[in-house]
Amino acid sequence: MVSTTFQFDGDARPAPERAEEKVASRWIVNPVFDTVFVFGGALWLVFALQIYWFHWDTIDPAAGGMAGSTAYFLLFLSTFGSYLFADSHTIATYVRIYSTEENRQRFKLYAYYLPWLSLLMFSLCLIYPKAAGFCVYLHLMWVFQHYVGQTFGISLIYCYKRGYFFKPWERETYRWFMHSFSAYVISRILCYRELSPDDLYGVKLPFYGLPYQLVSVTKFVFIVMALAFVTMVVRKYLLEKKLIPLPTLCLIFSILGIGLSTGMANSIVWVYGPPFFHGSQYLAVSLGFYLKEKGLEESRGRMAEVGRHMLSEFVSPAAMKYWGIVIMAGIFVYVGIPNLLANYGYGFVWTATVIQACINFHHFVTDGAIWRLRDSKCREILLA
Amino acid sequence: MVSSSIASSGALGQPEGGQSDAVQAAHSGPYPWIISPIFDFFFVFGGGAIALLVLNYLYLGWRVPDGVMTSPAAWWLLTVGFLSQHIFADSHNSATYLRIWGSDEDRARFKFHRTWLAYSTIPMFIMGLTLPGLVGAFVYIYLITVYWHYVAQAFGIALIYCYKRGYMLNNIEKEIFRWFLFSIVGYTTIRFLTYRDLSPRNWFGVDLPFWGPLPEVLFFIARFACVGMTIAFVVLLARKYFKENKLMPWPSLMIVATVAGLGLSQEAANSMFWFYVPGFFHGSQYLAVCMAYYIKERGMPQGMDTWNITKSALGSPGMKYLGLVVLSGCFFYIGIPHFFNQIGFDRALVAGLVLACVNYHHFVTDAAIWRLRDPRCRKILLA
Repeated sequence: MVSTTFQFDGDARPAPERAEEKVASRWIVNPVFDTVFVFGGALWLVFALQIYWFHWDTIDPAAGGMAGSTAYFLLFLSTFGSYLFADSHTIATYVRIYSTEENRQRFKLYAYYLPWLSLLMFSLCLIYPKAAGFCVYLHLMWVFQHYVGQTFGISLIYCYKRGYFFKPWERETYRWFMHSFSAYVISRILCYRELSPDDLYGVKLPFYGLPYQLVSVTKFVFIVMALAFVTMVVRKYLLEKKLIPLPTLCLIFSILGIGLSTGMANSIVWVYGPPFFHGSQYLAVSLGFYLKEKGLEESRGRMAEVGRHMLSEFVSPAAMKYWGIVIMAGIFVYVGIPNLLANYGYGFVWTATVIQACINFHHFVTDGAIWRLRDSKCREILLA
Repeated sequence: MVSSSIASSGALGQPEGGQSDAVQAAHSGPYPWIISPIFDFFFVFGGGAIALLVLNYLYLGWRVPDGVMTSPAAWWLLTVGFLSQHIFADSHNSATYLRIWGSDEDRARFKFHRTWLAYSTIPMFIMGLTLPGLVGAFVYIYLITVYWHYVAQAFGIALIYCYKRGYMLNNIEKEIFRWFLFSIVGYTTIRFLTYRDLSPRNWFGVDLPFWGPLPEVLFFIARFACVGMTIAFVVLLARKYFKENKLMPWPSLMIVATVAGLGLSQEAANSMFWFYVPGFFHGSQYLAVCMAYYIKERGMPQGMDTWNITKSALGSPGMKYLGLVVLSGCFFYIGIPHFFNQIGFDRALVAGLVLACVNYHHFVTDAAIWRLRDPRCRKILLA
């Protein structure tokens, strides 16, 4: 999901006065689910658990006693979470663009043409290891922008669901605060050797060593934008008596934590962040969208009803089918294909890393097109 | 699919109702193929497996390709082998699930198979994880029964071709056909349990027990029975030809030849058969029948022409079906072992355990779901 596309056309304005929308849910799913899986609860809970038991050391499932059991539990959690949320969330994009004839036609470029580009890139990576390094390096930077974009988009959903509307300049301040943060984190990777891995899961990465001044500039812009954002939030509180929604704040702090963490803390958030923050929030929104879109085929009332009872809808037969397909397809892409290519001499982890990069390029670009709050139907469903 | 349950309960008529008169006039009998002539040749009655065996022999001689880098021919043959494993063999088990969960009627009818029988694999799986020594026994039982399963399915599909083409067998003839094939199963199974060198000690990383040796006399009896039933079967075919002027359909004959080759071949030839047959014979034929069944089951109530319904298996509905079973096959045979490997279990052991659990359910369920005695099943299968 790409935040920059989550916006309204003009000024902040109230939701349309429809009876069913008056009672639209304030949550993506419900308070507990959202706390755990959408705005960072699970990530920080698991993070805290690991730090509590192991401080800044690596976990060792072979250790004895409670430490060993906890390490094993954490290992289980990260593996299970990857299957359930991280690998599968990319597939949710495909379900979105292929789910109906209307979507297939609307997103024709993304459904029928761009996937070939990913396939071409993947083939190149298999033939030329340097291409693999470049793709993974590019992915390494782009992925953080993608995380920030999605966080921004979901935080806006919470704002609008709770009537916390932005004027265009306020929204732009918020957007550019988030963009400046992405730029700062990415520039650090581009400039500092110690923040740019030499080897990522067996893939040799390049390093172009851009001038350090770039970090200084992006850092300055980030600080300025952070001040502007805080000022805007405070001003909004003082003038309009409106407080920014708590889920939005949690999302902002979570993404700041992920981007600003260093050393072991950074390693830990990148183990649990993909499944328990980014993947789970994407799936919650995508599955919700899928179910509400199906509800809309019946009536607006049915869509609103789905929105209000999202947790029970999440275990309905349609949702189970959705879960089944995205999980199985995720396993096929990230485990099945590397497993097959291992027979041809390609390392399993190496292949999985390259596939992730190539698939994600398509995922990032497609997300920019499919989650547009400007689009009236998309907005209506997302905010239902 | 279990052949022993596929038996006619009288005259097998034309598919009933639902089709327009015009279509019936154009296509007056049952559709003679499962999918289409070329598809059936390669994927249902053994043409693909035989063609690959011939290519393997021509390029590599009497040996299974042992590495993608050894030669270009080995590269191609292994690639085809790997793909067939994922596309047809791993996935065909999942087709059983689509059958028992496919419609409300089937869900109600096969409630035991989709609930209690399915649940029973959970303790089996947990036992295998906690007592790794059991996995060898589970896999060993699978190896003992798998050829029986292949033969039973081959018998069932051979009968479908016979009945689709009006080659009707009376009860005695059908029993001779059935026991001819079962005598091969008896022979190969007893051979497997009698001679240590014919029973593998390790199966893709899982150590296997040997539950024998049985007294050699049993082997001689089984061999004698097999020869006797072969003669009876040949006499049956000849008698039917001379008295009724009817030749057994060649797809049925090819099925019999392929499955007999799988059981009776020895050493390198046997390894070659077992390399290609699971994908290009057993798995692919099962998927073809299930896919045709799945599509006809949905199309027939609307009165669609079965000739066209079957062909639609090669279009979008068939591809969706194939996609779904391939994904779920990958989930069972690659995803689950990989997941357990990540959390500290031996990958080969879990793969063997999954194979045993899935096939235990698959073998038992197949015996219940593919019954030509059942009028609805017969109507759809023979349409």
